[in-house]
Amino acid sequence: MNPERESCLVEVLDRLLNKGAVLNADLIISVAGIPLIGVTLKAMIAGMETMLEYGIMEDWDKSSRELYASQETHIPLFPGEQVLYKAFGYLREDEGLIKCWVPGIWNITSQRIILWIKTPGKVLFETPLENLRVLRVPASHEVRKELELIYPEGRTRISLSERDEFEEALAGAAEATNAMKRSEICESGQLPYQI
Amino acid sequence: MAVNLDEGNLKDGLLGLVVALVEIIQELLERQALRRMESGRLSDCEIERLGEALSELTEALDKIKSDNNIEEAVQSVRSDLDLAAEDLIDKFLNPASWNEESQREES
Repeated sequence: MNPERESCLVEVLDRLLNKGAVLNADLIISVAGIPLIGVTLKAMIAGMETMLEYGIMEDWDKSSRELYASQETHIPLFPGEQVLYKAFGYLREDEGLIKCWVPGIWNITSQRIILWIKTPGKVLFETPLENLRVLRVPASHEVRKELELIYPEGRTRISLSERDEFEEALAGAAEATNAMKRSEICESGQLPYQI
Repeated sequence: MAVNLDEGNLKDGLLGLVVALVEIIQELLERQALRRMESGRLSDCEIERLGEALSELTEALDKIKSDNNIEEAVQSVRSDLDLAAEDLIDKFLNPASWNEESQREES
């Protein structure tokens, strides 16, 4: 096993992309000497840099980069909310015909749990830490490292390979929230406590 | 040339094949990304984002490999594919050797 070894296949494909390849084909299907169906095929494959050198797809390149730049790149947080922990994980999508695991980045903030997807930047799932219960799925019922989230509106399954760390971070965050509530009670005569 | 999957454990073998293909694509993307970065068309922010995303992809792939214990399966699929590619190029560059080989097989 030598991971440093240059891969021949990658090298070949890379050269192909750097050079670019074009396929042009015209085809007529005829019966009894009468052309009936015409086909014109055009295919091109090349690295984007090569495409741009030839002036192909310039507008598309520009507009897709601009589109990304206009999207949100950070999680919309409430004022005073902080991200405490981040880990790559999945959410089980039970709605619709196909049940599947949707990947994203799980964020534990001082107030919520959020599943964030980077491209396109959007929040796929969020629920406040308050009234949230987290259960471990019994090992016999799970394929991967799963957790069950139970919140007032329903329940959902999530999965993280760093499950232990996630649980720890969640416990820490919940404790901080409770601490906040306690201080709210202590200072009940004053304005509500804010972080 | 055949790519040998580990038939003793089809799941690992199949996953190994898929991850190997993804890895090849990822290395290709890395090389093309390098070319784009060097072209000077991308802004600094875009370069940083691209680099970050690619390194995250590498990390995720490494994680999948170590989680499923398929490093060796992936490596063997990749070396098989490399050999196949080498073989193909060799046949393109030296058609004569191809003829010799097929004659040897016939006799």
